[in-house]
Amino acid sequence: MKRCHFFNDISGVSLMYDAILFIVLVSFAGVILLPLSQTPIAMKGSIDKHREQVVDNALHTFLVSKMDLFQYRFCGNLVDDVANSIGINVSSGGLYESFTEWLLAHEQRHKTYATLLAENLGCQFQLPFSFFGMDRLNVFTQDYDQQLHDEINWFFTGLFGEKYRYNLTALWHPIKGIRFGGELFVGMRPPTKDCFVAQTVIMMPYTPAFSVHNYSVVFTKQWMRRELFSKDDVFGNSSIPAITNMSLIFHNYSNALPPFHIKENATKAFQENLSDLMHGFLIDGIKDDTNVLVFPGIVSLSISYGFEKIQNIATQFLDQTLDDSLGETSRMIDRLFGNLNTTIPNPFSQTILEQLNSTISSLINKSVLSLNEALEACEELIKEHVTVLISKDLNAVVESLVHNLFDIVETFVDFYEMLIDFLFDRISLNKAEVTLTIWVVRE
Amino acid sequence: MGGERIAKQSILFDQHARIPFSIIGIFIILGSSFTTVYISGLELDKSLEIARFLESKEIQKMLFSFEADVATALNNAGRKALKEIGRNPVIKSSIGNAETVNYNRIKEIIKDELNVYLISRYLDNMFSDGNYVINVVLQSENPIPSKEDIKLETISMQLERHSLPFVGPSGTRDHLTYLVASVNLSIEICFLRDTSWVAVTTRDIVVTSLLTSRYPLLRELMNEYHETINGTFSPLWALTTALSNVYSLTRGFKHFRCGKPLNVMDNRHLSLMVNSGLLLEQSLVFGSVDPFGLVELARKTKSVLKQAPSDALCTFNNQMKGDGYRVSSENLTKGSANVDAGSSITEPIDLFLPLNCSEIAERVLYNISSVNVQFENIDGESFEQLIMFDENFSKTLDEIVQHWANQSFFLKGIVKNLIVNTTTQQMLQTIITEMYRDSMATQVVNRSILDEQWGDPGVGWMDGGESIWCCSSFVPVSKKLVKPPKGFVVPGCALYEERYTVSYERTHYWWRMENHIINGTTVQVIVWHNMTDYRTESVILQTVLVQYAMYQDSCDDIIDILYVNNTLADQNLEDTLDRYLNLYQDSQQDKQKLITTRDNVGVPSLYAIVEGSFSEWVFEEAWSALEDIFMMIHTITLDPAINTTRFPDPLVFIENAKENILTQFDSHLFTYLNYSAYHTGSGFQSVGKKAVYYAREWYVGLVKNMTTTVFCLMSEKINQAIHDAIPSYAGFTSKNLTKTVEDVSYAIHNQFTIPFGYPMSLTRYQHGASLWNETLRLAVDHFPNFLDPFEKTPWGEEEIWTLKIRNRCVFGPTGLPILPPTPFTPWLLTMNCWVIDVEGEFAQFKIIDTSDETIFHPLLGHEPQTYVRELKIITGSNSTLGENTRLSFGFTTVAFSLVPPWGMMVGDIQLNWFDDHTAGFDEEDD
Repeated sequence: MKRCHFFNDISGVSLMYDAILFIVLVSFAGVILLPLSQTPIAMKGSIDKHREQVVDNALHTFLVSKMDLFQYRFCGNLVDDVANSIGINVSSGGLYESFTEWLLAHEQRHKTYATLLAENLGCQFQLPFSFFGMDRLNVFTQDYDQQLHDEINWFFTGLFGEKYRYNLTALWHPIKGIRFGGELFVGMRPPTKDCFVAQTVIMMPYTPAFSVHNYSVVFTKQWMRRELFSKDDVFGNSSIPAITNMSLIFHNYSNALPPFHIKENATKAFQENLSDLMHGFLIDGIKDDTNVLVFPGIVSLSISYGFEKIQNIATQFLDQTLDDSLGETSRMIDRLFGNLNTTIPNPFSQTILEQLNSTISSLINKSVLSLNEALEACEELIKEHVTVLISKDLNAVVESLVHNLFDIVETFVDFYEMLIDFLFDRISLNKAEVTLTIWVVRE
Repeated sequence: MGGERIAKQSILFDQHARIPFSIIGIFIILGSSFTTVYISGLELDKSLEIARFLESKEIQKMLFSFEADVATALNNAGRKALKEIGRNPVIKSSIGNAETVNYNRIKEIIKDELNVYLISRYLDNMFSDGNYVINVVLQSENPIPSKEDIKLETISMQLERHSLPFVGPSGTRDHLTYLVASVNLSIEICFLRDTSWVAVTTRDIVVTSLLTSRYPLLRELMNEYHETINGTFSPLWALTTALSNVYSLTRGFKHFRCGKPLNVMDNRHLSLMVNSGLLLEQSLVFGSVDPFGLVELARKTKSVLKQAPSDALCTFNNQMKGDGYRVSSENLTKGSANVDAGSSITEPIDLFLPLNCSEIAERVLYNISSVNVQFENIDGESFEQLIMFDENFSKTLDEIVQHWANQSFFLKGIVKNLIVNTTTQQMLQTIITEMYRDSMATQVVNRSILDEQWGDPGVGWMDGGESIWCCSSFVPVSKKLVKPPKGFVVPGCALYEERYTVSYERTHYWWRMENHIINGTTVQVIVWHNMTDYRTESVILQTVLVQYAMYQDSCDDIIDILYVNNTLADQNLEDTLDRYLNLYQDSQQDKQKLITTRDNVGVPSLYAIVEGSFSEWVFEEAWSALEDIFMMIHTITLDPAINTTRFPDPLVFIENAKENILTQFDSHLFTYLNYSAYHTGSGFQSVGKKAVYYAREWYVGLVKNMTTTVFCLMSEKINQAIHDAIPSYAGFTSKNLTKTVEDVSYAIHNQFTIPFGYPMSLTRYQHGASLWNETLRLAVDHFPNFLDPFEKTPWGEEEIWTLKIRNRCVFGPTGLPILPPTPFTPWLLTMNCWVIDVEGEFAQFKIIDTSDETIFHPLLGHEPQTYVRELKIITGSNSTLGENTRLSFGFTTVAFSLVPPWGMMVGDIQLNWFDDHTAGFDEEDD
């Protein structure tokens, strides 16, 4: 069969081929152009950028905005119960009402939302467990939560109007991931996609400081470096047994000294020591080689922020002690109503303490004799729960870290820096995290 | 081959004009690819641009966050500092100005706190967003090396509050309210490159924050409170002065009226006044008081009034409803006086000071010779002692009253013994005597020649002149009474006529020329020949009445003058003519001269004032008239509206009393004078009646003048007495004192209210425009709640006297009579003065800002800013910075009391009247 040239084909077959090929080529061209019609990158980027700016600006504006007046009521309705319990007729109206309004209404002026938020988180002392619906140690500031919640809602509702919905989440968890500290959620639960998120940290009204052996310690990385390590070599040295052991393991492993010349032995031993150090750091406290406590542990440190002051006052019921621990206002009510009626068995402040005692006792479901004992028992209970909570993933994290460490052991320059960073990454003593999420509900 | 050529040429030379669709399709693909690549390039460029923009915003956002965070930290640190300084302020410092020391302490604490925060938060690349990091730059191991890197500025606001005039601080006042802190920081911004941070830039920034604590305001208000309670002219001084004066006045009256209370000025009550004042000033300065201070005040008041103190809560609920606690000054004044006198607490006390002029009027008529002082003890035994009323009367009376008081005999009353004022009697005598006089004169009414004979010299004699006529003799011819009939006697009328014949002689000179031979020569000589001429004249004299019953500006106003009024038994000067004539008998040279002197017709002469005789009734009636007037004057009473309550300033009171009394006096003037009883319309009924009338007029005038004078003297004496009573160290004058009493008494009236607490308004103004406003509601807490001068207050390890009171009764147990007594001066008031010294301090004084509870508290949420004044050594960095001091106060004032004269008088009848002080002063003296 004679092979005919395409161009010479005059039978019409070539024309069909041509048409079909044309159609195919046009289709290819459409495919090439399709992404342009379906992905307006610049437009979408611009809108996203705008919304990111909106959420960033909203969060920043919120945090730096000042409220002329914010107020809540100390104890909320609890105060009536307390007043009743010390014999004050709360139904007498005028006098009691005016005094409680006068002395128990806590008013704040010119404070930023950031400050109000941080102070609210700092006085909740939420617990990582719930008992009969009580999930916080401080029962006196619940009205603070509610009032602040309402104010924040008012702020963002006014700011976003009907276009956006929002969710503000503020968390102060001294141990990251453990629901112990303070929380505030305002707004609706956000959807799982198409949200714009702004996040920042705000400072807590606590100084990361504690007392050990009658001297004050500012808890910083520098302090950790200075007090817990001494940089003799790559692995450092320390008076803390766990750290000393880890340095030794690394040293032996690097120099192939038994029994840690075998990686399995080394990693296992290292993992055990690191777990001990982590538990000590977060929960039980760190002791040196003479068994002296050099760091009380994050849980203890956090609890002591709020409750150290009132510990032992049951046995040292002095005016000054109470002034320091319960504040001027409560003490003033105390003196006022206490002095007015000699038949009142307990002063106001003592009743407050008893109320606290009762709350803590109910939380730990134990019968305790004093507030001091109650607090100690509570601290123990918190430690138990935290231990359970962190042990779930801490071991995995430690295991992963250790294996990574041993993989790069040859290239170590600052082991202790890594360790300190690792420890500090797990805590947030004086910082709270604030997240604002918005999503569009009406274009 | 030819076919191939044809084929090859056909596509070029194909004349069918046909382009295959596939060729077009290839072009379409190429075009679409090109378009896609181009547009994608544009999108990419745009995206990169957005990314770069976001990158730049990222740094900016971090810086914003950093600054906001540090500003919050600055505020936190500042509040912590202010909490500390508020609790432990340095008030006195040996190392410089106390406020500067405090500000440096604030800066130091902020520096330390902020350094801790910055180191824990902004070092070691901790503040990072993954791309960038901000670290603070350390200088001398700290982000803030020195407190000098921190600056503090103040914000003032205008405080508006309720106030009372004179006893409160200014209602509107600018106060420092907030502090603004600024801190200089150096920061380093790093960028993450691979695995390391690379420094991008270092920047110096200034972070500023308002410290949301009103510490400056609390400090200023505390200082203002100190000013209001300390020193002379302070509002507390003014209030205490007014209250103590109302108190001394009321108790003085009670003492005067019933002899008790013996101790008019009682330190127990003064302590209540001072405590009331302290609370009132608290309420006015702070808008709030220590509630328990009110309760204690209420309870102590009840205790002093010997009432069972109710339960404190009951007291609080019952007495302190509404807007506050009402302090009734009547409780302290009337209540305390009644309780101390054993009367019902609500028994009214007549505070009317019955000033009048009856004492003045009486003293004109009678003098005081002596007084009988009556004493009585509680068993009813009484006795009297006579005291001579001389210049030493006050001193003697004081000594006697004190002497018997020591033996439990207390002054019951004083009765005066009077004697007639002889001076007044003499004055009446003088008036009457002067009234019973008239003046007369005599004049020649006619002189005529009866006979004249010249001596005859003979013929030839020439008249050479004559001498003047000289009387040689006169002979009375007739004398007769020519007095006009009754009722027609008027000045100038002739009463008596005398006729005389008077003989005169003179020498008449005559001459002629005669020839005489002298030595043989005939010479013409003048020869004189004198003769005597004789003349006889008739002279008529008349005695005329010139004036009569002359007294002051009046005269000639008696009806039927010179005729005896038998009805009234009044001689009416009838006897004066005879006395006149007797005075000028013919033998009297002047009369002879009048008779014999020629050319004196019509010229009155021989003037004489002649006294007539008067009956005894005239004097008696005059005296009686004065007594009547005195009785009428006695009925003049001061308008009750003129009282010491309305006019607490004694000088103003006396001035008003004087005006009132004199007005009343004037309104009764016609009654006092009773002109019509003596004057018929055409003249006085008789000379005696006129004398009586003028005696009345003299008395009324005298009493009025004396009243004016005495009241002026009283003002002077009271002013002088207060002046003398005010110690030199007190620092005020009697004018200050009386003015204060006047002003403040009105302000506090019978009561004043101490509010529990109310919000005050604070407004920030800039260039006259209001920027923002807020409220301020404070709580006050002080210890002790009540400053007790009778018990030591335990405080810590010491015991302190929180209040010391001393009162000194200046004029003794019986006071100072005004005017100071003499037998002749009227005694209208008795006065006494007390010098009151007050010293006090609060062991602790705390103010609490309850409407800005700004300080974070982990358990309570928040606690308020406080400001505390107490005795405390303030240290810092192991060195003494100074000391906090107690809020103390002190002043001296004077209270006075005025009571009517006589009676119990007014003063402290107790041994230590000259220095009645509480125990705190004893320890001070030790």
